[in-house]
Amino acid sequence: MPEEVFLTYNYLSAGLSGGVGLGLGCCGAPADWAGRQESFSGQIAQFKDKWEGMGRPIVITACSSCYQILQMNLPELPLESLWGILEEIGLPPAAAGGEARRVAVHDPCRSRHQSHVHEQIRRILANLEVEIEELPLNRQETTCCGYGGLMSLINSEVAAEVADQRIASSKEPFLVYCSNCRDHFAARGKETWHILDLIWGNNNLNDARRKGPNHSLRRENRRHLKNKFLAEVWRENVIEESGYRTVKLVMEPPLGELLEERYILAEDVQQVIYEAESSGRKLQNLDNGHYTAHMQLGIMTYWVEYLPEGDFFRVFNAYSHRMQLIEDVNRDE
Amino acid sequence: MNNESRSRVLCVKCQVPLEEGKVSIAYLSNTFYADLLRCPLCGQVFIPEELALGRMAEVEKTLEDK
Repeated sequence: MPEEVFLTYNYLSAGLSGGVGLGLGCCGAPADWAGRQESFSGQIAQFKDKWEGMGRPIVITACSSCYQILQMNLPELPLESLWGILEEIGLPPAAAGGEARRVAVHDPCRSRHQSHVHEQIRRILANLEVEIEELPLNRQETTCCGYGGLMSLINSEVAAEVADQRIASSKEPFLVYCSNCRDHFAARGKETWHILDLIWGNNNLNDARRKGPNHSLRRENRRHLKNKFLAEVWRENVIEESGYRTVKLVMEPPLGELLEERYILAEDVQQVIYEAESSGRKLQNLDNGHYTAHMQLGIMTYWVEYLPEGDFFRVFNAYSHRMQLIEDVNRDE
Repeated sequence: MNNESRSRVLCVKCQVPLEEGKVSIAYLSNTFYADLLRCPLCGQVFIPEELALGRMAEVEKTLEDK
């Protein structure tokens, strides 16, 4: 949960000497998994530049994938797992097992070769007096939750089956230490805590049952978290929402679910409507009056069917394609 | 598409109904021509949902798998 990131950062800042920075970017794992080596190399180079710019500090990761990617690609980086650091400085007073009395630990697939991390997690749980059930496949033999390698994006049916197989290996709630594992299992109805949930006292079964954010909310959460840090920790100016971000959408829940399935973000829809309303380039269905507009963003062309409704825009449908329309005729008129 | 259905989509900017016309579409270094509804004045095209999610998606996948 974004709030847990905020709490953890502040806790580390108070407990560690020399100052603590925060990277809210990406280690590049998704690009690596997608085989996009050029994009991946760019992200690693960018990470290295920033790290050097900060005076080559120790890098602390909560995520085993980040840890593995950085260890393999930037071996000169001094790496620590967040769990080891928390052991060193001590857990916050809020940390408690709560309703997590007995859990099955699911080690994320990327932690396979991080045996010290496996031990750190188990020691933290022991410290919180949480009983552990070891799954038949664990530690260096652990399995994937269904998210790894972008499986859930490429073939969601296989990914769901992988998750279900893992879920079937224990009746106990799961305890994980990867946010993707948490949300992937929770999406399949499995009670799953992230270890940060217990560390920050979010240890009720309802916390384990909450669903993860959809793609749009995930991006929104990141933006809010960054703004919260800017305003409350670093005392810097928060950039005010402008342009397409001011477009307020309204849509029925089933459409929201459809857009999620189609990997269309709310901000994609906002951009199409903003462009259409600014330029006047839109179509109207004369049978129902709805407007339809489209816009190419990256390689995707998004189409949105909508109508203005007071200060809002009611969205009726959205779809996309990857083929590119060559509409060069009088485009700017 | 017949003339009647064609006239039910209006280009708001030019205030004229779309008409069927040749449109170029490009993907992965391939260029195609298709008869689609387009504005006769500004060239704005309409791709209906069933085309985007049907035939176009099939061709995209075929080209990607090549």
